[in-house]
Amino acid sequence: MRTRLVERAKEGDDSAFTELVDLDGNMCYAIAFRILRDAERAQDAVQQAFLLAWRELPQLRDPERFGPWLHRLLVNACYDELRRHRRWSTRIRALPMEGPGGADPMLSVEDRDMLERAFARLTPQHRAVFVLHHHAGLPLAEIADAVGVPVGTVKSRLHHATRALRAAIAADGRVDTGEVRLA
Amino acid sequence: MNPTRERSAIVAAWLEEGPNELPESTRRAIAVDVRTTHQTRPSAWAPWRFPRMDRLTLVATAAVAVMALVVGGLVVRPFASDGSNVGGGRPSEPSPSTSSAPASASPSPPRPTTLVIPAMQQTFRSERFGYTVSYPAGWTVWSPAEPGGWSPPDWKDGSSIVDPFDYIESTPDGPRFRAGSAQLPVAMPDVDEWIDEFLTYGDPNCVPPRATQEVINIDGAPGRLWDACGEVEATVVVDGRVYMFTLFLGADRLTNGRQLFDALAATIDLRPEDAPLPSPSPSPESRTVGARLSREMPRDRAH
Repeated sequence: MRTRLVERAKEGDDSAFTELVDLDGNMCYAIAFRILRDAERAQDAVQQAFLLAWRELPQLRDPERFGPWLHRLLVNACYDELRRHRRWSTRIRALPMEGPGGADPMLSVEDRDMLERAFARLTPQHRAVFVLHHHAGLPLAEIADAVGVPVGTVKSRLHHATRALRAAIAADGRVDTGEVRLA
Repeated sequence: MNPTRERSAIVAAWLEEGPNELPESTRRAIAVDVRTTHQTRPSAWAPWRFPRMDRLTLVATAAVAVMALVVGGLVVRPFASDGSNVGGGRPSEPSPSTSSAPASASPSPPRPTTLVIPAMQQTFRSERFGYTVSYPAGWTVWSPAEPGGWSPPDWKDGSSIVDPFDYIESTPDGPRFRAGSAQLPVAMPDVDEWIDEFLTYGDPNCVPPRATQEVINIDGAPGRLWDACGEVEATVVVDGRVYMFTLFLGADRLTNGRQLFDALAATIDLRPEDAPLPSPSPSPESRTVGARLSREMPRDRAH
């Protein structure tokens, strides 16, 4: 069904493309929000990614590749957002906690604060890999495709991001630090 | 819940928080964009070749093309760069790429770089995994002290935010060396298959089956190595313990990643006797496995 929609959209059928937005919009927004940690910027990134997808869709040779291609556009749109708003990145703001189950009672205010700070220190590339793997559940090869680096680099970035976030949790002393930094 | 899993659960819970539904206002805005924006169509102003071409036209076209090349060569030749660039135009420069170039829709890949292999001046000893390795000055060692050691079957669960390996890294996005070891089950059908199943983690298009990988030698112990998709990884079995050493090349696309791996691997001293005793792992009984394992374990190694 999706492939048929992509084919129709490629031919200029805007209603087919709107259906694709209906199908993939939530997923894109969830990813963008988690990379950008900002609802408004996430909406801008999603809008930008879909607009680009619509404009460039006739160039997409294989309709089956629409999903990975859209991920790539979305990640690039997130990078653009982060670049555009870099000067504002140090401000601290309250984040919405309107997940499916609301705020997770497992998380303390300190946990959230530590994690937000640690995440803000990651580069956009590290953020994207972490979110695509641990939130979107994409396989490493697909992430490599989306961010345009080899699988080995994806693994390496994943490790770096994961370690930074776990270290943030450990830093509040509630959980013993499991890591030793040498030299 | 142990501290590692608790940390993982906290990070996972934090990641799940947040909105998951694209607001209606954004959907409407996209719909307006789509209605008011033309798609970029592939250029179709001329066919890529004439549909039919008789022999005379073909010869005439070829003659014109040759003439054009000759004349073009004569015109361009005086301005060709001879190193002085005198009289010529400015040397060509790469055009700056904009971040939102629509046609590419992807970041341009970094240029391949060749690293000058640095001297291995510092040494890290892992008592947890039973090895020492030397590494360049300025690199940083990260050694997570996971309680209970490392269980490969648990680790391979890609959804877990658990990574127990030792890491020695240059910069956050530069080359990164990873190392770990685990006791093999007492008996198993095939050590190669076990490593393929529980240890090797990556794109199947990148990682060949261990039985077909290149045969290598680390500290006198025979092993296997693969080198693809931005990483070089070796597995070595010695004294019933499997070691895995990986070099992630980083975003710089090193052309001599294998050379760097070899330089690091040449300093490795395998010390399985240093590693803590394992907890017994269940495995199917098989006598053929013992034969395979003993073939991989050199008898004359001395530590």
